[in-house]
Amino acid sequence: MIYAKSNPIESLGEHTGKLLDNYEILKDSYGHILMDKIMWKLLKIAVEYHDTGKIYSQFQNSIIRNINRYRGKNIKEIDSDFEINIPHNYLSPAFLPYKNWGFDKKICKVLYQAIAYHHERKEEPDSKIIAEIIEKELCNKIKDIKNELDIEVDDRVVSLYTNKIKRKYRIKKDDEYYNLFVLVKGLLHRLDHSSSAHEKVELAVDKNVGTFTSKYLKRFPVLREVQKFSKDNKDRNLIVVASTGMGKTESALLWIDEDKGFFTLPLRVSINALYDRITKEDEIGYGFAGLLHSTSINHLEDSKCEESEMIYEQSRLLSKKLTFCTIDQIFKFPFKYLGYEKSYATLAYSKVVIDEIQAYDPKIAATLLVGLKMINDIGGKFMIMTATLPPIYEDYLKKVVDEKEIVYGKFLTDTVRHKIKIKEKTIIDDADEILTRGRNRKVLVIVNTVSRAIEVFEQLDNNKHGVKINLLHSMFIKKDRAYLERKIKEFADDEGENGIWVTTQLVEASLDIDFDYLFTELSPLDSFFQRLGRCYRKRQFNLDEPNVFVYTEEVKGIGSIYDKDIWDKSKKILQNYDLRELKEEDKIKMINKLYSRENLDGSEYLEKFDNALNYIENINPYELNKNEAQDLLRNIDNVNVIPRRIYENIEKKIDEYKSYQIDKNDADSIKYFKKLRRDIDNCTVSIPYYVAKKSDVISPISERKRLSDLYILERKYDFKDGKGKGVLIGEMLSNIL
Amino acid sequence: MEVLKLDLFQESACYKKPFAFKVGETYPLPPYSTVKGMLHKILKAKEFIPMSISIQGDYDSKFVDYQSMYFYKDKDITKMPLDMHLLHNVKLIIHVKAERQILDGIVGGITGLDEYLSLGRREDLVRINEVKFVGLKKYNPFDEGKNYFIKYPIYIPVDKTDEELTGINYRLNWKYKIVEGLRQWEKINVIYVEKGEELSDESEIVIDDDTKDLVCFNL
Amino acid sequence: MGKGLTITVVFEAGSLNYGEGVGNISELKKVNRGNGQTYTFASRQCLGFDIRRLGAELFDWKMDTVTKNGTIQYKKDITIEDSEEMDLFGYMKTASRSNATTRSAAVRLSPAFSMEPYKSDMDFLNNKGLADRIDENPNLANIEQHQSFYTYTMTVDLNRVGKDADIELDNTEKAKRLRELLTIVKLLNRNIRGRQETLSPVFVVGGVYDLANPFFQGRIKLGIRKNNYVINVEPLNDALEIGILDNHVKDNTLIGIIDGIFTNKDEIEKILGDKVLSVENFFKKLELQVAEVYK
Repeated sequence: MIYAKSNPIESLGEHTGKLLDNYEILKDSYGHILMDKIMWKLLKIAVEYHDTGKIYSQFQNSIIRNINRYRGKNIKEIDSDFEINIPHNYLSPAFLPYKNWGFDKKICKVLYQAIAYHHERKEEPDSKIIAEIIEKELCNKIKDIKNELDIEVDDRVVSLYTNKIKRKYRIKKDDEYYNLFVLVKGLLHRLDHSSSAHEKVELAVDKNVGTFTSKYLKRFPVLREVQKFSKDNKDRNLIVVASTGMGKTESALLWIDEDKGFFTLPLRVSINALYDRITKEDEIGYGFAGLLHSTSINHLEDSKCEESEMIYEQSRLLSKKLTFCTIDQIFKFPFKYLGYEKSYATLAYSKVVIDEIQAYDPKIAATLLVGLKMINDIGGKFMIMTATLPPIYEDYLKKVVDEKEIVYGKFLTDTVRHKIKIKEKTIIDDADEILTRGRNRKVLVIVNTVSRAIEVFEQLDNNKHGVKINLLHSMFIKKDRAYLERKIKEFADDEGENGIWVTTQLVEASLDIDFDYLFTELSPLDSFFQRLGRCYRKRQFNLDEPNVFVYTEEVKGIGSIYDKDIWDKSKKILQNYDLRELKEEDKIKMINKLYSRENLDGSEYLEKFDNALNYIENINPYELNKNEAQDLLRNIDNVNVIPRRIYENIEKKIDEYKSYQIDKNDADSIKYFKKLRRDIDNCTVSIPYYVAKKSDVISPISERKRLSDLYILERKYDFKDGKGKGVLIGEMLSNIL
Repeated sequence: MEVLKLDLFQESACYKKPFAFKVGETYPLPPYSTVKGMLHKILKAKEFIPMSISIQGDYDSKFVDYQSMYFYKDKDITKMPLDMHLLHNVKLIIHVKAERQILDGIVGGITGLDEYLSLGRREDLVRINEVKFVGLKKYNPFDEGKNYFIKYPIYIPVDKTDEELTGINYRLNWKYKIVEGLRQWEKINVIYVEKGEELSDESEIVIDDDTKDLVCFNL
Repeated sequence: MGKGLTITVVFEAGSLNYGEGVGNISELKKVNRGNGQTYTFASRQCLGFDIRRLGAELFDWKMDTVTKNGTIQYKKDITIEDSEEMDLFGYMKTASRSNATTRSAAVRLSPAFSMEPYKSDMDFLNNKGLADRIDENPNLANIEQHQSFYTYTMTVDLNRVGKDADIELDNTEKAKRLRELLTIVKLLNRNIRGRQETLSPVFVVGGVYDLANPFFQGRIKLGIRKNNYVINVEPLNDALEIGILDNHVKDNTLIGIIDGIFTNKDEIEKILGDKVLSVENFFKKLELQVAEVYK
């Protein structure tokens, strides 16, 4: 038997057979989109030959040793003239009978490289050793390969391909067969990974999310304009600017319709909420969706989902028909990290939705835009949905994507929901105003930093005279924060409740709440408009005084959390709308003015954006590995900590986790282990790295690998009976969101 | 067909690049015109004798010597100190293809050398290790089952190969004609390819039957 | 009829030739080798300078041959007849670009490369004694030091000595100049930083040949055996066995060696028998061979 895998034991024939089955599934499912016959032909060849190099004696012996070690067998190793084990993928191309196919030399190169790099390794293929192995050993194994795989092999195997798989000659974007290469290599990765995991490469192919959505929308009298527009332009790239509450999500699902789709949002919380909404029976009821972000497994398990593990795995393999994800999961490919072709090739026959593009910082937005260009280049489709689209983003897309390929739609409500009053004082000095309204109404206060939130909270709490004051910011441990988030929603939904919630920008995007009054420090316009959305969310403005008060003096977080240029320019633009009823059109105008190239000329913000575009467009492929690329897209400057007091409460659990022996063959054991980890995670809070770095702020929890990413926070933590101020870092809180 | 093979050694040498000011940069191997000049000197030739040349070789290291150089400045001569880049312990293999009587002439010339040879600057002495006639044959990678691995760094003329090769591109002088009192050089585009690089069936590969050294003639 | 004289010399000396310093460090000229070691060298200009100097000191070679005419160059009216230096080492006289007269050197020298790796020895000098006298802070200086065996090669185009355009000296003069040159090489020394370093050969190999070829350049290698120095015989043997086009090197080669420095004289004698001489006798015999050429 020629071994391919040791756990479970699988022969080369079995493993290759699995890939071939998956190949057929893929071709049947999406062959109508990926129509290049040559591509399918090459992919099939790549599948058949990709692991032939495993026949090399030293590879076989390494598997045999594994089987003997872990399965208590005693299989004899095979004789070998060689000591060295070189990656099998560098040997596989030897068996390609390329002379029989008459491909162009450049096409052969596509094939060689797709196979040679179906595992990305740091080590350079060593031509001389490869040549020697082929000459001395592989040429005697031709018959064995033919018997095992039923494929064509020449009577002689030669190593002429070694020059074609050198790292320095890897196929890059200016190569005429670049797209072909991305597809063959990327899809081979997909087939290989899903087959190794014993999963199907594509699932629920015939489950059309458009149909489910249409059925759901029958509850409403008519399709809204934006929904009809998206449905009518299914075969195009869309850029849709639409106000909140216009039914954007359904529009996107109607646009995806029968295709494979990826739906992205900036925040994990929002994605979780969206996922729940789509999958719930009494809503859209589309049960075939996947969920993919850094903590998606936790959410799936919390949803008491029996199949959480499976859904998570299938989402990771990109096999789901529709996947809800954060951009760091699928938009790393513009960095061209080692193995990027896998997600890039998948997006070539999918549709991608980018929701809330205005929420990303300029560097990440630049990555997304370059990614959208690449998707369009290789045949995929994208849709951008946003309440406001910065003109500099639009300018770039117009430059790199043929204008015939993009359709623009603007859908604004006529409803006027806000009237703002600009107050040139600090928010602390206006506590009376806030308290007055909090007595009989729901009042939301949003400030720019945690320390300011605590300050305002204390100020109000000391003078409350019976008014209910609550505080929510990011410096609570996960489970307390989740509790507070639940509370604020209940408060907002309860008609009879009045009072005040003091919060930071964390309520901007993730929480679906509606208050009567908003008191806020000024933030850049896009963030400010998000804040407006938490007050008179869908109601027509009906007061005889403004419902929004904006404070512009001694505002915190400018220059640290928010870009100073942008903030100054926002203030200037907003001045013109003091005490005017604000229309949706006005917001668009303001954003167009703020984020136009001329207005931003010379600003640090624009420089960051342009530099990022430049960097990503000209990046050297294969310099980064997957994790490095991920780090560039994630907010990595945070450290997870457990406040000392909480740590002492759960110390037993932590010790148990640290020394827990997992029985890999026992599902319950694995489950219990994961639950321990989740319980610990729920007691953590993320603090900025630069705060943690200061001496005596944190101490490590564990010397060992397990939990080495967690620290103990040597600071007070204030939370009791569902109330408190959270972490008290003292003066260091000033620049935390 | 037999060609002449020369095996040479230089303890130190500088094959100065033209137009390199401030530092005396050197090519990694002598350019065609330099080798051609040496052969013509051996032949005591007064005019160009048709031949083609293949140049390969290796050196131990580069070093720098700060020394005076003479320059023409307009019409005058001036002296200026500069950093000369020198190669240390250079081994060269030169193949020469020409009419048999010319090759015999080169052999005869070497036998009767009454002047020490140099290659590069006049003070860059050459030690001749061996002079012999060798036959040429084709190397067919497919028949051999593997690519040809280049043994010594070599100049490969760009138009002689379709192979994807990495190296440094040079435009080397070959020979000149005098036009209105000035030398007009015929140039040859080559790529200087390091050892270990591979030639597959995308090139015509010719090797000698002596030690299977690659032969890449400039013409 | 011999046409070429070549000798490859080994001498032992301290640091010879400083290049550009950084700050107050005086750096030796160095070459890094493929084996990762660093070696030092003295440039050929540096050897040439001392040969000329000794020519003037020992044999009154004419030295006021240069003038400053824009640049320093040889006087127009001086010929190789007047100047041994111009004869042996060549010259360039220029009026302008169009009529420069040049003569290439008949004698050529290679740089002298150290045979042992450089180990970053520094002499830490200071002038404290002097500085104290005038109440100044002493300047500290670091001077790189390298005591090692060095080797260089000299070649002489015998047919070109004493010939320049239409001038040809008679053979006695040619032989005399060569004798003087060989004596200088035998006694060569160098004044550097207040010391005198002797550059005279402790080992020398070469001779007069029909084929002008620097047979021993790069082939004299130092070995160490039981804490003693030896001259490796293999590369030497390779050079001797060379038969370029029926020229036998061995027949015309002599070796001079000073007793007590290299401990494998017997091995060398096995190869060359009675042609292994003292350095003194080597030069005597070589002079006779040169005289033979210019008979």
